[in-house]
Amino acid sequence: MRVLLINPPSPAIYQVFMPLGLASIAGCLLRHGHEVTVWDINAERWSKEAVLRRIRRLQDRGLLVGITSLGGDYPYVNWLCGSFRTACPETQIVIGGHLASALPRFLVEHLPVDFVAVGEGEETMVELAGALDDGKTPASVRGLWFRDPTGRIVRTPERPRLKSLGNLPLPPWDLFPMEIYLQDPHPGLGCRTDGEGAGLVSIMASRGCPFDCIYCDHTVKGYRPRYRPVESVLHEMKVLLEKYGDRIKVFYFWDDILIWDRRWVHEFCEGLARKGLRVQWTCNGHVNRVDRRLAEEIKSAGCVNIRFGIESGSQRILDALNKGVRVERALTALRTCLDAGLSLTLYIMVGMTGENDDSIRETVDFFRRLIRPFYLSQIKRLHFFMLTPFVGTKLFDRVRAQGRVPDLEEYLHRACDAYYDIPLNISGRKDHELLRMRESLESGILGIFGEETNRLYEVLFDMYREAAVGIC
Amino acid sequence: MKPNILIGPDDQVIRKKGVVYRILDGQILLLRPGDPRPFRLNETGTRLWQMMERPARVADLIRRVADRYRIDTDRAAPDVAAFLADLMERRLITKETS
Repeated sequence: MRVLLINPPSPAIYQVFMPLGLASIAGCLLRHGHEVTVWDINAERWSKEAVLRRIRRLQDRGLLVGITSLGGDYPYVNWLCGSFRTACPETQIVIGGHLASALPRFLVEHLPVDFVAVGEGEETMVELAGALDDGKTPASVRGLWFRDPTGRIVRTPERPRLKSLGNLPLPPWDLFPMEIYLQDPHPGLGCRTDGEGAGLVSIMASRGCPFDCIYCDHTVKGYRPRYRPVESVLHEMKVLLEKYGDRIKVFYFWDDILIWDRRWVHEFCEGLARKGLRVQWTCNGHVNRVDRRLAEEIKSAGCVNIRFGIESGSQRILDALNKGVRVERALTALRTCLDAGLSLTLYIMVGMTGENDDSIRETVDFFRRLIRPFYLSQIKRLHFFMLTPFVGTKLFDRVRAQGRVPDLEEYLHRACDAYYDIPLNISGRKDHELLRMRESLESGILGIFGEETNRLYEVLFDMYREAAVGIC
Repeated sequence: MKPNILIGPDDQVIRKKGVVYRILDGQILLLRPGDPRPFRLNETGTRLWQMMERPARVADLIRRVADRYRIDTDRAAPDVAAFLADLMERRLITKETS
């Protein structure tokens, strides 16, 4: 079967990473003898007109189009499916990713798609392409939603998550615009403005996060962390270095919490040393999993930056978010990382129910207590977000049950941008008060750090938003 | 490496449509369509960029730079031409026929 896999453009931010889920699916399809093409529109930044021209050039018969999607992608995915239906009517379209897993019935009902794939997509896509190739019914493929010839919505049995990630193939990098990924400046890691890229390459060693934060979507990767064998990850890094050489500056681990399994991390660090892989890497952490031994070990093994979702310095807000984190623990963990010489990228959120001037002050105080002058250069980036109830999260289910999302489609068109917009204000304060609180939080924290940490990024972000007009 | 684009004093140059820019710390930061890599201009480059909002004659740009730094236009010309050729190669400006 000919399969075209598509990564839609992100409406909110213009940072380009290789879509690893799509890459894994591409690898599996190739392994099973299918012909695969990839359009990473997020990386290529093709205008809608350019995408339409490409669609019109396709031979639609015998083509399966797989579109991955996040919660904020609905407007674009809607447009994309409609464009395929009009210009390439015989194409079969399947939607996967977080949006699909969160709202399968809604998508089958509202979008001109043939299938919605729920959960991890590797096996589902291979079986679906195989069934379509053989002229068999997709009813035997687990994890699918679709309409049967009578128009009735069919839901096939749930597909269990992959037991082992060890059998997944390496990403078929040649199908993806690696040049663009390597040349992205990636402001979150310290931006270059000399026209050169950050040399960052995406990789994932595990899937799943055991924490239950109410703003996070677990529908695809689940709660139980599943790791690839250390040797498999080291092999992937080695192959990447052989292919792209010293143009790779940093390996960017996408795992929800790479450092969850201490034994795995220890083996990984030992493996890097054993194989002589002197590389730099960055990963997501969790403050509850950090201690001095771990911080020093990963630093010695090449970890240069660790990303933490701090969200708030108010215990009341952290509890409301169900973070499972104590403020004092977070402070200790961040200091431990900074003392070990790791740089940090921190995420902060504003707008949870009950957010008020006290919680904002507590968050600013958190950073005031954290920062000492010699740490300043180690804080690479602070990301400020408006809390947005994205579909697939417990928070969304809660606000929907409260009747606060009367028109889901209208909401999906609005809930795309978690940076500046307020698609749904659940703080209990008026919009202008929430915006004032956000401003006071940002200026309070940036006042501690010195604005240089963030100013370049803010300006760039603003430019990227302007540059994205006509694409998303 | 020097750009391969030739540019003469009688050419007119203008900013290319779709280039997004901002001023940060007195310097221009540029982003061209479809390319996420930002490009920062130095102080002189920033001045030249500001002059290219409308079609600008290369000879006039050279003269303005020479005046600013109190040097001969002969001395300013190669640097300005190389700078403009570089911007052109990066598709940030374009030549316009008068």
